[in-house]
Amino acid sequence: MKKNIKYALIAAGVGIVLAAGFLMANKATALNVNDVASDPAAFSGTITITGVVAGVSKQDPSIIGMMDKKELQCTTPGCKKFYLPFKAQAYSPAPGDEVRATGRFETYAAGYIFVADSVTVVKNHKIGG
Amino acid sequence: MTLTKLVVKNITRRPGRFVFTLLGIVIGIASFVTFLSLGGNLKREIHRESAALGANLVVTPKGSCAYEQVSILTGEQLPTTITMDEVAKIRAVKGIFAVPFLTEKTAITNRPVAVAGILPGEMKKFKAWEITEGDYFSGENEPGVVLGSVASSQFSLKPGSFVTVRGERLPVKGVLKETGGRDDVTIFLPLSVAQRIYKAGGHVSFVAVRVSDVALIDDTIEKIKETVSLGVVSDKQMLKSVLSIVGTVNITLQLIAAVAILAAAFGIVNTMMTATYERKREIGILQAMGAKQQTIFGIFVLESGFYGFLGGLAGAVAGMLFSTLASPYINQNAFTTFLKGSGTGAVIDLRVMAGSVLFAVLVAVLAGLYPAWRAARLSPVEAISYE
Repeated sequence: MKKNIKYALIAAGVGIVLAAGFLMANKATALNVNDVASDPAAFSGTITITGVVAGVSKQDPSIIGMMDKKELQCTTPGCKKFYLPFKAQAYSPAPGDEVRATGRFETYAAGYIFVADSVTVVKNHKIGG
Repeated sequence: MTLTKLVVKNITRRPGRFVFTLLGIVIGIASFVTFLSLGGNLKREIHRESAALGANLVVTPKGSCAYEQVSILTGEQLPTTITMDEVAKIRAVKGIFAVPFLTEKTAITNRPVAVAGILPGEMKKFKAWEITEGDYFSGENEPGVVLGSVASSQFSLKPGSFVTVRGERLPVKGVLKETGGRDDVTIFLPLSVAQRIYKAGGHVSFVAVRVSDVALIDDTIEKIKETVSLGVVSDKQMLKSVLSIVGTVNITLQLIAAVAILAAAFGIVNTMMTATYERKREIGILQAMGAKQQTIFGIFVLESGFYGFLGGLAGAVAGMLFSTLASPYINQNAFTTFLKGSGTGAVIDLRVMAGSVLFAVLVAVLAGLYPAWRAARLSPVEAISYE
């Protein structure tokens, strides 16, 4: 029985360490759209951005607009949303997709565009009916 | 043998069962304390940030929602739609001291930092700032930055260092004395410089207003609304709407914790029911020795309460430790960004700890009532003849 207690305590310890590690790992990687919106040039190398897909550019369907997750809460007409333009090869955008996109900012004629190497869909928020 | 010794001996008789039952309560109470503690800290931080803003009124773009009001307190960037012409009209209203803010963001070593464009001279008076290192802005259009104390230490920036904002290299002029609020993690630029760098074209995000006579707040709101077509919210209204959002989040978190405690309570019921069946013979002997029904009932309730006390104590300590460790890492949404200020994060609240231990004891005692009743109503013959 003493063995069982030992195992239980070890399992609890490992669980706490894993939970703390998960929290720290999360903190190190994900940025919100509003964090990068004002000054994309300040971010260098590979970064991960999390946000919600708002739509696709009518001029260039390969450019997707991503808004901050917080904007989902703001529904009054006065809310001015920022849409971060991003490109992703192997991703079919669906409005409302909450995504974690990993990539880097590249300069184009229109300005900075986030080019994602990988996109993970966390969930869909069913926006726009 | 005293009653306390008997209770301790009984519950530790099966060490494995004791540990697992206890773990259930510890986890339940720890999650409860964590959520309660984080929620409490969040409220404290909101009050502190509201006080640190130093304004009785905030003028925002028309139609701003409560979530944008949260952004004023968290230092997040806001839409820059208020014109300098409107700012001038607001400042012309008698009996007020109004200062405009342009809130933006940049990044240093890929870490986001809040940037605020301010009118240097007026803002220093408005906020009663003091400088600990270097100098303050010498002019209203001087290209340079003044840093909050935490931003300075976080990025090892001192007077003489340079900061790049939107591709423009700006010298660090000085470092502000710690305020305990968002100002500590902010980079300040003269408003005209910030407007040029961020291409804000003579616009600001919001205007903070201090009213000379607080009794005239409502009149001042009306006067500002008559002067400009913008939204005006008092600090009390802003606090109320922000706290109501936070309150909703807190209630949700506490409900999750309540489920964990409920599961732990059923764990106690299960353990105590098993103990009742296992100890029928012992109950019978106690009855034969003259123990009354109340005594047997009391022993089982005390055992259950003891589980609650131990689990509550360990859970409260674990919850406080976890909330202290976790608070700096919980920064992914508008409600918890307050915890990123220069504050210490979680504060050990003895009332929360004591309340949690009492709550755990109460839940455990309630969970133990039915098994105790079952044990007490056993007839001596039935109990003693049990094999």
